[in-house]
Amino acid sequence: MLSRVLKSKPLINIVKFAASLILLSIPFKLLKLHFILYLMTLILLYAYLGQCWNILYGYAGQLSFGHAAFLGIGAYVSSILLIRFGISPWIGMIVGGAICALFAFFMSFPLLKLRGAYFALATLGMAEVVRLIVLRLDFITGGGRGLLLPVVTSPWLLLFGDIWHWFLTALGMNLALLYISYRIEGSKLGMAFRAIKQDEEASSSVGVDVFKYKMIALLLSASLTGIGGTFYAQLVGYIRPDIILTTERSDEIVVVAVIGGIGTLWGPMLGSAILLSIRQLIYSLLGGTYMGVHLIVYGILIMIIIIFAPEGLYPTIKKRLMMEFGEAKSRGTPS
Amino acid sequence: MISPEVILQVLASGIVLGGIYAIASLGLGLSWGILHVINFAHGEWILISMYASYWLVILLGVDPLMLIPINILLGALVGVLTQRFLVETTRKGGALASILSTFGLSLTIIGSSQLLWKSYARTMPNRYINMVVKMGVVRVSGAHFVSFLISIGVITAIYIFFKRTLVGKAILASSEIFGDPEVALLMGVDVRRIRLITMALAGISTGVAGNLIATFYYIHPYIGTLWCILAFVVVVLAGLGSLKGIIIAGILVGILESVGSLLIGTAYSYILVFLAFILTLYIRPRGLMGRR
Repeated sequence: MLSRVLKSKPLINIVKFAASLILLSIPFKLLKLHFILYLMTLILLYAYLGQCWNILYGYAGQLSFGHAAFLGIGAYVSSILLIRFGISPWIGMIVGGAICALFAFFMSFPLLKLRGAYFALATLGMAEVVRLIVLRLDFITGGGRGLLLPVVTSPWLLLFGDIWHWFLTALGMNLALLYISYRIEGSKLGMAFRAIKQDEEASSSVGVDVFKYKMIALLLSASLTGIGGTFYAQLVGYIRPDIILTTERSDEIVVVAVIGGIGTLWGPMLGSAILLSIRQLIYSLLGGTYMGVHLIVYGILIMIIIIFAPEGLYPTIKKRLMMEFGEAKSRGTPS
Repeated sequence: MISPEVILQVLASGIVLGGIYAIASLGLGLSWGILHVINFAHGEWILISMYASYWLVILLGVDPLMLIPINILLGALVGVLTQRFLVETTRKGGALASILSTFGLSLTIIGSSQLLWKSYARTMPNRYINMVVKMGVVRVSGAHFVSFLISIGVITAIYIFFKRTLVGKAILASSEIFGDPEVALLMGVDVRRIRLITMALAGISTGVAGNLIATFYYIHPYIGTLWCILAFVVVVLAGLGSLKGIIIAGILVGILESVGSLLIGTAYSYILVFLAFILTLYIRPRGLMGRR
């Protein structure tokens, strides 16, 4: 049974995953356990963001520590459109994603010339510049006070009253992203990404247009993260630079993907489930009295993973299960 | 508004600040340039020394500059522990593994200091902070000036260490930029031990930097991140493997920051620094004085 699950097609796994999550959520909805539904929504949101990051690093090998910039741009664009112009976030989401892609396009000229650590540093600097600029443009972004979204319930404005609807929306976003990632993995694009990740010079010498494919990965990752930013803003209900544009957000996105498994379809989901469960558990057990405990846990988790299972938990666990239950032959493409 | 005096003043405070940036970046430059270890916990190394100096000053009431020997020991200890238990065990994974593992360390240190000392911004009471040093038409903060002198002294000492001592020469010989680790190993250099000493040296300079910064800057669990980014900016501008480059780049960043404070305000002055950083990476990816 288990070996069948491990070997079945990813597409079928995605459908099974969605169905089982919805089935799992229904009892919580009926019992009105809103806390658990909220936790599941957060897990799905961070899994989504982790997977966006994963497209850039896991598939194409470009390590970013600045994804909070895209998250923030997406959140601010849709919120400003909603508050100032009354435009629905469903549309603002797309606009935010497009502006993220545009921003990433302009940033790509200095960024994509850089490799490895230099790229990572430049993205860190980029996120910091975006934070400072948002603080400076306080006549439109509200500066340090941030923006408060209207307190209404309206599905058209992406503001649900029922937490279950938030959960379903997050699930839908994840399914779309998982499908996109699955298609990328199997396509020529995915092959080019993997080639670039392994060796840029070698892949360029066999005719892979390295700059073009790195650009595609960056734009895809940035715009999808921007869409996630809109969802984040709508869910939380307010945005401030010190909430959405901090290095802590960028860090959490990195931690989710690294713990789960870089370059895999299901890694960010697993990482997010572990990380967010721990985070919410710490928040609810310790409250605000012991600040920083969650960061200690993140840090220790990352160090343990890098030392003992550098590929991440999902590939490690999968390999173990394969050795136990199935023939160890599916060594090919990661999925 | 912009008169010759203002320009002189901006230059002077920029240069003085730049000396401090140079020592704050030296540790990162050493570990990166010599060992290819990209230490994302660099800012938190600084943070540890800042908190240590703060509490020793508060509890013992001593002059902060008396604490430099203690911070040298503390810094060396932090460097050795990081190298021994984290960097050495993840060496196989290359530069990216060192980034991610030290990134984990930095989160742990930020969390611990938040847990222990809360998210207050603290300032260290000391006699240098209100001093003003007058030099002709320009005035410089006493804390900045003293820190500048000490950091130039420490950087010179480290330069002499590399040029004159056997251990310094062994470190250079076993680095990839100046020498060749395998040849050094064949010549009987204990490369593993050399890596430990290099990291200790990086820790020492970072410890001194933390001590100096604590005299004039506020101390907060998240402030390490800012100093980490600044140190990265300086090291990248300098180019790997150039001590002179670190001093020049530090002063350049200092001047940019004080020009930025004048033009767009203190809180946003880093925008200019980061833009210059990204621009430099675009024009000269190897930095101003980088080798290879």
